[in-house]
Amino acid sequence: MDMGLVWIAVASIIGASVAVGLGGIGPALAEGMATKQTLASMAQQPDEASTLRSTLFVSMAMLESTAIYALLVAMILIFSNPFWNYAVSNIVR
Amino acid sequence: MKISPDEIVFYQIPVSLFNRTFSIDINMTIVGTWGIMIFLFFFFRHITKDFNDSLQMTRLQNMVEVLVKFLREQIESIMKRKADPFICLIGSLFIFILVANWTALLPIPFIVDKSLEWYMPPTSSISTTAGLSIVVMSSVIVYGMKKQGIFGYFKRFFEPIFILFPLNILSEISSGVSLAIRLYGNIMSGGLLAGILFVLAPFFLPGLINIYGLLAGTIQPYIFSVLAMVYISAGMGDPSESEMEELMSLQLERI
Repeated sequence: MDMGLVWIAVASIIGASVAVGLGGIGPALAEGMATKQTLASMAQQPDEASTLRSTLFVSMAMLESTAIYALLVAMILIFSNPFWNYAVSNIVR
Repeated sequence: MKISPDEIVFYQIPVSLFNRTFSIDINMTIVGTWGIMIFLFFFFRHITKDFNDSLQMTRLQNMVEVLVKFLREQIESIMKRKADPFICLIGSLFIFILVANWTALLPIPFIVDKSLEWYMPPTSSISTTAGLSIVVMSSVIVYGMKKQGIFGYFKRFFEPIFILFPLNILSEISSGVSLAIRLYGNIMSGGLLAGILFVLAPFFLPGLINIYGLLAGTIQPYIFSVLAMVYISAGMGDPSESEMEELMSLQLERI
């Protein structure tokens, strides 16, 4: 097997793992902070709980989307890697 | 493993255009979308046939009224405007995405080219979510131009100073892209996680992940429609005093 292909595979797998691993840290911390603050606010003002909850959901989705972007990059690297496809098609030719 | 319903192709229609031949694929995304659309059409037509004003209403009428009331309240509280011009668009988006996400739990087998394929929800394909996001972003333009006129709408891009024009355009495009990718990523990752855990530990874990997928599938349409409302109301500018007063009097009337 060609060594170039092996290196492409190694780089893709490491890249995907690092993308998900590092990309998960930021959103996790941010969601924790948002939840903490919302729970504190809910405990202080139980009347406003429904407004706080709906705002929390929306902001959670906004925060989560950064993690989703990282996941998407990882998925592209593993399942439909353009560099891998290019290398494979060149070798077959 | 198939990660996108676009890869499950039922039928190919060959098309030749400008001396080039390509094929239009009838894939799982199209079949699922049209299936859900037909189901929703006949379901709601069946329900709305025996609507009445009396207190003796059917259960389904009660359900629809709760849904419409919820959507109206959300639109009025987020957009600070009357809900009538928006409820068709926002409500359709909400109901379609909700039903599409929930169908992810249905185990429907299909025979494609003598091999067994399972149903995948259309929202786990980027084409569907990109289409929905294009609908939202073009309705931002349409509502904004209807409200403020063409020049009034484009003035928004030169604020606060004209140098920021490229950045304003970029933020408009990226909000559309993020709208599409958020929905796609959430639904796709839920389905994929269930598939991977099914290989690792069948029977127990996929069920839990599917319950989580149901939760995400219920929150995501809400997020999508809330963001659509936020973008549309940002494109329409601030509501005027008379609109606010109209809304206030409408809400007081209801109480």
